[in-house]
Amino acid sequence: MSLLELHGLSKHFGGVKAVERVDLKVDDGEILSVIGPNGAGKTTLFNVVTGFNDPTAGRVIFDGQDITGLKPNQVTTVGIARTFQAVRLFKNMTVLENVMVGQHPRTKAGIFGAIFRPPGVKSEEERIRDHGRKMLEFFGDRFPWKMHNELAAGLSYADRRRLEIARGMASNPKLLLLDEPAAGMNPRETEGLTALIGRLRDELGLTIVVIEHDMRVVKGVSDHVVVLDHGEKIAEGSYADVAGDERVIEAYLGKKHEDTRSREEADQ
Amino acid sequence: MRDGDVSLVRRAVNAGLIGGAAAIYFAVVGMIQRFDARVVIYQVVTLGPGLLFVVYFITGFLAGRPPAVRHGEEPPPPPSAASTVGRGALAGGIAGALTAALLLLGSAIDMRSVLVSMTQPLLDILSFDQGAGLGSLVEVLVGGVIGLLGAALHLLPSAIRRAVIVGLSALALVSLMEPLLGQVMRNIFASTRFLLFDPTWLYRGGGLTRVGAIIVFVLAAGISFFWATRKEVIRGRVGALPAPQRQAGKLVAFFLLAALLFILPEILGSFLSEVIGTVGLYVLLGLGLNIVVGYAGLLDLGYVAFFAVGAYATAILTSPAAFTEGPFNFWTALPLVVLITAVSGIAIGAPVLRLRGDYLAIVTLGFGEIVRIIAISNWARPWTGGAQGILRVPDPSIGVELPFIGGPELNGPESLYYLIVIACIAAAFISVRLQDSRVGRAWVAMREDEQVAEAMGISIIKTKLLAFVMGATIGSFSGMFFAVKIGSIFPHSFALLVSIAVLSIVVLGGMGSIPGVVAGAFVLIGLPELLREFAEYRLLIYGAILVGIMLFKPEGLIPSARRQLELHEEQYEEEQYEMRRGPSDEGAPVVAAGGGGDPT
Repeated sequence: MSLLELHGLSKHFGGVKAVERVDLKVDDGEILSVIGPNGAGKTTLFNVVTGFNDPTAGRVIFDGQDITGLKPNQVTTVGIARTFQAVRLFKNMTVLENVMVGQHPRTKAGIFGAIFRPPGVKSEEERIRDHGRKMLEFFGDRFPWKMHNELAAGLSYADRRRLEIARGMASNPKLLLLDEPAAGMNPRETEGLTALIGRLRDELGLTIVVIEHDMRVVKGVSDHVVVLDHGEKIAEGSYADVAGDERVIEAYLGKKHEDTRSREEADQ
Repeated sequence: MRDGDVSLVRRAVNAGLIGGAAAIYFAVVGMIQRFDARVVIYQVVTLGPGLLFVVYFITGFLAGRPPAVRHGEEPPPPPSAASTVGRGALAGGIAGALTAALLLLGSAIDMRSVLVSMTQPLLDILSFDQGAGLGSLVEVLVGGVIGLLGAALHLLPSAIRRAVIVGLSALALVSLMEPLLGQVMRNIFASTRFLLFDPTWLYRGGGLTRVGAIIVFVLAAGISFFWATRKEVIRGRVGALPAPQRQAGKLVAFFLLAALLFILPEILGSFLSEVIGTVGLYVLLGLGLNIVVGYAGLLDLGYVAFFAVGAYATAILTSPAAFTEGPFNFWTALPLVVLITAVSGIAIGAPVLRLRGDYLAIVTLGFGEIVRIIAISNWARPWTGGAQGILRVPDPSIGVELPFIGGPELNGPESLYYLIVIACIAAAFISVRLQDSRVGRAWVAMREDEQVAEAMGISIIKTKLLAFVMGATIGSFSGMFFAVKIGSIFPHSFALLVSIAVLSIVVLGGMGSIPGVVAGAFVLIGLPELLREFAEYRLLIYGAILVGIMLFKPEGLIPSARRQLELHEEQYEEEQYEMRRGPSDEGAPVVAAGGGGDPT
């Protein structure tokens, strides 16, 4: 059964067609990679799915429900979490607080609950805290207890990326969208990340869509790869299929001969 | 002469010129003459020349600073003692010379047509009654000597240097607080006849006695020194106490504080109780704005609007002079007033939902003015009374006979003081509770990154409105008490200046910090009430304090734990880095070897 379906999704910014008539199906429990050269519209696709941008045309169906045009917080509430290409943590909150914020759409306490703290709110608060710690423990020894009360701003770059994933996980999503999770990581950290993405699916049962440039990650995690270029889907299939596809190679490396020649001529 | 020496001397000259400019400014705007009426130490020094001495002292201190250590460079060798003191004397002397120049100029030409403060009494102060010629020499000499003393602070070990600074500040503060402390001591002495509280040993002629000055200085410096050297030991001991004992300690401290707050009006008398009541009103406003600005990061420059709505709602509902003829008393009106201001919070919050930062500030600024202008307008005159305001706002008497104590008399500044204190405690409690809650985290997340907060499932609309409504509600209590405290309300009480004062309190105390708001209100509202001589220069001093705080302690007087971390991030990150690097210096390979490589 497909968890996420995009039907003819388009997003235009003025004359720029950032995403153009993309059809896509993400099955429950699969890991899908979206690849493509810079400016291919991958992040815009995420933004449209998560409600940051309204689509120009097309529909987004999640879990059988039409979520086109919902606000970002409503999208998170129905069960889609995401990370950002440039890490965007709440820098001046602690590591644990960052993750605790993730539980926001799953909890209820309001002003009066916060002030009077009835037993229900107290136990909810404890649940949020425990849940947050559990999310951090998923990363093994990367976030030992003594780090939980440090500011997120003090983390190493790779740990910030990890914390962003933890924060996304904390909202108990069905679908997790990771925007270039391996960017800026060294080979060893990338390897760890590849294993982590697999574990997210196997142990937490998450469905994952990942935008990635690092082909080792794409090869390592994907059940299924989609290639975008100039906003359009140009290829789809297993990693091996896609890697051998003429149009994909062309999109990444440019056309042979004629194209380079004509560009050189244009330059002069 | 080495390169470094030249730049140090240049810095000293700069400090001297700036100090001199400050001294001239203080003289020309009339502060020195005005403050001369205020005695600091009886028959020794008044605040007029005292201000000059402080300027010279700071000038010397700044000039004597050792050269800054640049990051990653070898620290240059510390300058010799003679060089340090010499630079201080040079800078102080230059500042003194500039002041002397003003003195000579002032005695040669009559400048009063342009600078009204350049009068003979001022010149007498500047010349120490020695006449212009000898006086200007004395001025240079005094500047040099005091500058030298300021620079000499750098030669002391840091614990002693700090003790001296604390001692001098305490001396100044205790002396300036004479109207408050003297009155308190007189009141206590009158009822207990306990000699320690006889104010005559400490104060005389509106300032400290010589003995008193020495005792205050030694005591404050001693405590500072003791704390500096024993801090770790004491903290360690307190930390080693078993939890129940520490709990008990906190409880005792809390009850002592409560008891002190309870008997305070007795000790202070009615004038000072009223001052404290005014401070309390601003503490309330500060706590409310702290939620909007400190927690949720919404820069609201029109906070006075909520204060005004609270006050007007109270007056309209309770005053027999209002068009409603006051069908309610204070207590029955209370829930209605809260409701009205909560709605006004939504009304002001809703249009600015999509705005951030500067734009939000400007629009809220406008709203603050709109409320005042509506109140003063002819159009709203039937309801708000226009410029005449609303008179005869009744006291919050309960109007019920209670068993044993009878009908409590809730009028006059003392009883209102209790109500305000209770409201402040409640507001502080609410602030603390909100800070560490689901809503509080949503506010901070929104402050940090609105878009990401939204992506985490936080409804920005709801969260922003909640912040405005909470801020409005707390502010409305201040407005209610203001209305009954004054007994009448006028539109001019709700000027932009109130918004600015409240924001200054929050910033001065430390954004997001509750003790900070209390401290800020005492400094910015309480002190000026006590120091009536300063009234004319109130805004000038406000500005100077704020600039000083922003430069030297941007996290505020009593920063919240979070802010303290934020503003010292660089230092913090460095420490983190050191900590991590410490045990495993080889770096990456060790970590790769497994979890054990991660320093814990």
